[in-house]
Amino acid sequence: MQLFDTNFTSLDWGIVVAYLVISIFVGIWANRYVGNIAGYLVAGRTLRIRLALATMTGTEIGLVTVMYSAELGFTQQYASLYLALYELVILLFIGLTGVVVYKLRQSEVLTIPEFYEKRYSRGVRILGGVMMVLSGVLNMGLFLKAGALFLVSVTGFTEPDWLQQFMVNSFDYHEPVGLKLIMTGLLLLVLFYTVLGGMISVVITDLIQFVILGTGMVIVTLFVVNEVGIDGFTEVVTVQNGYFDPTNIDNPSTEKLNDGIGPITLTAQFVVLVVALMLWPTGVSRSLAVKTPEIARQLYLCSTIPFLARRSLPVLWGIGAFAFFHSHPTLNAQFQSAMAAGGDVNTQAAMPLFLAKIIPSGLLGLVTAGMVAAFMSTHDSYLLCWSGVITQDVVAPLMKNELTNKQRILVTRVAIVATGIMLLIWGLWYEVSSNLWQYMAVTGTVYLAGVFPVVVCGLYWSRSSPVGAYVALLGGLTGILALDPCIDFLNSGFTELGINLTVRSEHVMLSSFAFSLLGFVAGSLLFPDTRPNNSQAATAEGANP
Amino acid sequence: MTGWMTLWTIVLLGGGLGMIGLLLLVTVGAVRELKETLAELSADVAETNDSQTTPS
Repeated sequence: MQLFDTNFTSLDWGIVVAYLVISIFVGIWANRYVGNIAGYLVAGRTLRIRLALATMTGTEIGLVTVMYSAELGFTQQYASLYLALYELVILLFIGLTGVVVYKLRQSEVLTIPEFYEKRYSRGVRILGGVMMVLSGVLNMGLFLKAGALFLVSVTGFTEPDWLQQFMVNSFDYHEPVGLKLIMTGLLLLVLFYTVLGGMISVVITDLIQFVILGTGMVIVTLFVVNEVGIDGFTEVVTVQNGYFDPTNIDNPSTEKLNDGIGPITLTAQFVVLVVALMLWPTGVSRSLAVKTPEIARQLYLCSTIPFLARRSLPVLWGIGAFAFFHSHPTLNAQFQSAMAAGGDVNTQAAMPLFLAKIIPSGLLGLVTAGMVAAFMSTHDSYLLCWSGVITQDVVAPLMKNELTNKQRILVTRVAIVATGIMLLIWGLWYEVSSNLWQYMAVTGTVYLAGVFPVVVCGLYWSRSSPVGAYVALLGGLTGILALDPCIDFLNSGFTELGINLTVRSEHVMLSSFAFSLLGFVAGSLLFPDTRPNNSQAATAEGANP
Repeated sequence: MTGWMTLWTIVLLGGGLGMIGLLLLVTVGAVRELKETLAELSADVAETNDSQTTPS
């Protein structure tokens, strides 16, 4: 058996293509239900609990989620399940108490920046919208790359010779290009039906995608358990030095020191997940799309299950890949040398390479269609979310809200295409060298550090002021310093200055949250909101849950 | 080790069984909910078209 051997055949390609064709028709069909901007952005706030749950699951189980979770399972084995545990506990808390989400839905806003204007000022709304889009688009930067890597690994795809020749002869381009073109095509497909149908086409396709993806996840899990066996999963810890204690900073499955999780990472990830689960815009847009504040609360409570599944099942596949490669020394040697050679193969590829060998043809096509569904359902919702923010929170306020419904839908559609093009340039053609989950947590911090005090204090603290909001939102920009190149730069600077100090990304992330929160409190106390009756308005909006 | 592995086993079982349960729950009632949602949106579209054609 060779590293790139796969069970993926023409039958599997047929299944994937059939799925994509159905998605196009759904987008065209759904266009008839778009009447106004609320219909386009939040499906007219008509979603019931099951539909909202399906679409939220479809959005939040992205291919990128599957890839980074499986990568963590492969590199950190059982210990990486602490993230699943965190999400379970945090969502249970939000779902049982309704904290933040209930009042946000009650405020009748379409987006979080709209809340900023209602609570603070139009300027805060525009700045908040810009920060949200900046962070969100950066956060999506690696989605296409991860999707590409999955497809290459699971299908064993290699570009045809004629295409390679064409690129060399026409553009003097010598890098592999076939997969980049496939991913571009997928993105164009998502753009097509998102631009056409808005939230309602996203909801319908998310429902189909949820069924395909959920079934695919169950099938994969059964095959992984069958292949590795209960004894194999036990041997990961007892024989193969697998990592199971996340409080230990040393990962026993690697030779590097301090290469594990440890208390600082545990703390930083907890803070990031609390704020992300409460206020990540795509999740919030679902809770704003439901019929009532009570359904918004229920949605979070019911989301504990899919969120637990999205974090735990791919980790199991990653652990399965770890066990599989360790029990096949020849394959493991090929995998290690492919990673050492650079190029596209890295630890993210372990899971799809493993699945390509254990799942039979036909089912592999269904699973791949499920993963393509995961890729698309995340992209469509994210594109709609960011472009909705651009329209409602940046362009419309700048135009003094004089846009008609039709103009708003047009601006949103243009923003979807523009965002898609930016993603294509950033994520597909631009090389990002950072670790996948770390990159996402860091880029998320740019938005999350600012939004936490601005929304939570805005809802529950009557002395919150616009100046505090500006300071907190801009403070989130310090999160960029947690990116790997900045951390390397900081540490080399300390070394040159003779300072014995090593900074980690987690230190900077936690500092960003602290800086924004303290900045918000200081700004609000030093520069109180002087507008008459305004500061009490949003906090008094309905009863506490 | 036993404590940690027991915890992770519960998490993994919860994720797997939960996903199966969720699939059953959603697929049973989601189509009916989708029909209701589409009916309401159709009414909204009709209303929007009426308001655009009727002079104020």
